[in-house]
Amino acid sequence: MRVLAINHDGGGFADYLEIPEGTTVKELFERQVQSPNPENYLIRVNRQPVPADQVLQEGDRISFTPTKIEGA
Amino acid sequence: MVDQERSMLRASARIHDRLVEIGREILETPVPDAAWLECRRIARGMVKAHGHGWHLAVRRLRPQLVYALNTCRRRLDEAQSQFDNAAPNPNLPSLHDVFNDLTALERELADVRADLKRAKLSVVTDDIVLEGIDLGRFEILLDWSLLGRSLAYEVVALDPNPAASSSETTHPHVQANQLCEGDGRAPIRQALAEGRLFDFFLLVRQVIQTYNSASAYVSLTEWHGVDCRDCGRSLGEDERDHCNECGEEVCYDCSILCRDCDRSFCSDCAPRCPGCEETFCASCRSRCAGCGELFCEECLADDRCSSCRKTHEEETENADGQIPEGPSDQTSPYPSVQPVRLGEAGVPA
Repeated sequence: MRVLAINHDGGGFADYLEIPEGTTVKELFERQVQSPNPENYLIRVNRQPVPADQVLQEGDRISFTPTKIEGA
Repeated sequence: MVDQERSMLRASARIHDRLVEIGREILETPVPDAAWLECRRIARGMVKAHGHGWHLAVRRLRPQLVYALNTCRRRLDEAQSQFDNAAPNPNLPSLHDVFNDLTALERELADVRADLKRAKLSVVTDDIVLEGIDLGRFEILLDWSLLGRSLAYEVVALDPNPAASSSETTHPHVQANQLCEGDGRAPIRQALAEGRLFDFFLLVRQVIQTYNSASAYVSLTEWHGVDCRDCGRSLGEDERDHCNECGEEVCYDCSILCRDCDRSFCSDCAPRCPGCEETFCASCRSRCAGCGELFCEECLADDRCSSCRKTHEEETENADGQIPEGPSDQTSPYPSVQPVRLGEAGVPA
């Protein structure tokens, strides 16, 4: 199924991804962000906070935003 | 539908219109017609002049054509750069997406307001407290009429607690209402370019909530100012001098200049020379070989201060003026009463 994933850790690009049915938010996070610390991110599905084990649906919009973003 | 929801819907429509307009602007990339026409005009003139045998005219037109061609090439490069950098947004949000962004903002961040007249969307953060310093609330103010151009947003302190040294610095990474985005630059720009306003406001808020001590306009350790090392007065950034010996900050009134090297020092690092009472740093003083005190170079001669030199000279004179003792006569049974002088005989006691 197809979802929109936005990773703000870096370039901040939004990409459509094909993911297996039944993929949870946590699994997508581990695949996309590759960080062991999800607590360091604001994770939103369709702009809302969700539990880690929430199963993603077709067309979901998932964003990962670091809680600490250093200005200059 | 309540007023706020109606306001958000109207704002969403206006913002969506602007996003569509940006796409159209990108497709209308200007090509340098005028520069090309100028090249053609001069080239035609050269051909005509050559046909008439006006060789001097051809020579005069040649550098003009070179200049026009170079100008045309520059304009073409600029147009290409503009076109490359402003590709149409493949993920142009729908009106529904924009509306969802704005309603989600109201859940995520407090106090979302849309000013339709001024084309501004604003969000107010909670109090920002960094390392114990309360910087107050900040308003992230987006002017959607400027989307697609630079500086579309500002970060305005609502309860200003600016740095002591700079009233325009209301946050370590905000100066004159402009956020220095740092690591947030790329995702913030991308979010704005794609019209993802929920992401944009979230990103800016996270930057404001993060302190980067390595790269701040004013560090939080100096937020309330630096105190003069000597008089204790709180100093702004343009009121400070720097001791070249110990590195401490001093005000310009307390700053002391070394009379020799002219560098600035605090009172401890540039004491007065005991000889001339002028101030000198450690590098411009030397120790007197006599008393061990530190003097400037002018107050020392032969490594001694004037007082020690005088004492040394007196000691040397005394040593020169003394009559040396005669050789000891170990065979004489009588002790000498008076030293024996030439022409005299010893008189036993």
